[in-house]
Amino acid sequence: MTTATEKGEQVSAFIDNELTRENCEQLISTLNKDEALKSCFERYQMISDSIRNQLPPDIKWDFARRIMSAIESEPAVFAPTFAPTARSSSKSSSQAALTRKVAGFAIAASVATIAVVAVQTKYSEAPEQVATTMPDNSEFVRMAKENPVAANMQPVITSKPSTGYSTASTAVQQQPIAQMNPLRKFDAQLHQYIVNHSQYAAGAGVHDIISSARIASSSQQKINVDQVKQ
Amino acid sequence: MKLIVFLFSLVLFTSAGADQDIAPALSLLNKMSSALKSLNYHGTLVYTHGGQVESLKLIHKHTKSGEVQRLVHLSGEAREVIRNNDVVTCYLPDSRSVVVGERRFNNHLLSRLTKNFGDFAGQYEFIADGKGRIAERESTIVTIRPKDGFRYGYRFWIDDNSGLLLKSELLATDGSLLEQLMFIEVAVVDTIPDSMLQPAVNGESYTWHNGREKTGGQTEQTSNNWKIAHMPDGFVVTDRSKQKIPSRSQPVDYMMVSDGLASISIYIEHFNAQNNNLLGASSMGAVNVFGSLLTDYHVTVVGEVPQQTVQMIAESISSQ
Repeated sequence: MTTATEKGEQVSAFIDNELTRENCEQLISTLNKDEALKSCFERYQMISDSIRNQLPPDIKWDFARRIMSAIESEPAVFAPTFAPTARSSSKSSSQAALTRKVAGFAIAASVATIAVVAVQTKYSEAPEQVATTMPDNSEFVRMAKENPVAANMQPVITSKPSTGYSTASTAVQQQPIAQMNPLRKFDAQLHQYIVNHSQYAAGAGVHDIISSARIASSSQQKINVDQVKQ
Repeated sequence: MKLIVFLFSLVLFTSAGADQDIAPALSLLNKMSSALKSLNYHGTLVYTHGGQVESLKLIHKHTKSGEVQRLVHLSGEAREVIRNNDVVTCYLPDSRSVVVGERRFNNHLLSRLTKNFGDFAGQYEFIADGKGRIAERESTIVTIRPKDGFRYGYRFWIDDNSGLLLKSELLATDGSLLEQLMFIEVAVVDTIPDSMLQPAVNGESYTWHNGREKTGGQTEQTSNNWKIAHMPDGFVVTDRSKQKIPSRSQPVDYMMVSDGLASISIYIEHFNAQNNNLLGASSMGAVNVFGSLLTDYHVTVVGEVPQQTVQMIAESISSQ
């Protein structure tokens, strides 16, 4: 039996491209039946959106409130202690490994808090409230977890505090892809043809969303080779 | 004579029955096509393909001057595809490039399909296929089933209220799932702020590739006289032109063939061992690719059709 916490971790891992194919398919199937899990997915996707500054401007403030509410309702988790080197090199493998260790609700909740503060700070009308130094990560996470509302109301970090976290997350998700999909000589050329085809054929079928989806995801798709003569 | 009359009656009865079954499916597809173009909506999609699952965000706006649609990859590289009517701009941060192209299907083929169904009835069956619930919305399922092994099938979940496409499946000839696109959440809204349609990536420092540039005028257009000896029934050549491919200094000869639902691109260029072209079969998700040599030329055929279809076309190209 999969617990709610494990499901939440699966959603978090899914958004970070860290689920196996089987688990992905299982999760997608479950998402359609489980309203709570779907709600969880939507929250985490918004977290991801926020980190990437992708949120529509009209929902940013409401989003902050909703995420804070969501964090408060999540089960208590152990706030991770980050090594001093954790943010020194955003794409280092050590940081990727560190990030992986604190995956699941812990990282989702802490990233959510950071994302909220980032949004709040970026759109703050009172820049004098923004300190110029970033606090130690572990201290910040502890503070945010213990009193997220206070952290929210008094942002103490710079305007792009989530950079270290989001790039670390990106490094984690790209690493296995690079290992799984070594580029062959013709792969780059084939990708160009597939992008061109999808771009040019957009609307040729019943709908063009799928053509755009193929372009958007083609860099991560593995090209299978069945009968290559070269 | 009685037998002939009986068979004739049977044919009439069968076709009348088929028409009755087809009408609801075509009506739904028509409604979907109209809704996809004319509504303002945004939502989160899950795209399953080739063993991978990815999340995407879609924003669509209908304006007086047409449509603007933005699709953003939410994980990994922040690839974006923005379509402004027929102009499709792809922001590809991984290669620090922007590729601009122009789709050629200004008039949605679906409108042709529903108005002139006889053109396509030989290749596909259209079936209203039950109900489903996607993204908290009740929907009706339409299945489009191919009649031979040269094309894939489709299944669409169409929102009963708005007519929007909520879920789309591409099915192999054995019925197995090749690609799935599904809204996890979608909102139909009155207005979409323009800010939601701006690319998040700043493409100013990227290399821009504009495939829309006219590269040779009428002379080059008419020099593209490649012939395709064998194509599956229903496929016709819908375009001949030249396409600029980022890694190529010269535009390549291009042909598109389509049966109205599936489309296949054919690229023909002078053979050059340095070009690292594919020889043989390859696939990426539901898209199959076949590369072959034709004397001094290299042919690459790309399409969301089974491998045997791209291979048949690649091996049927000739200069006469």
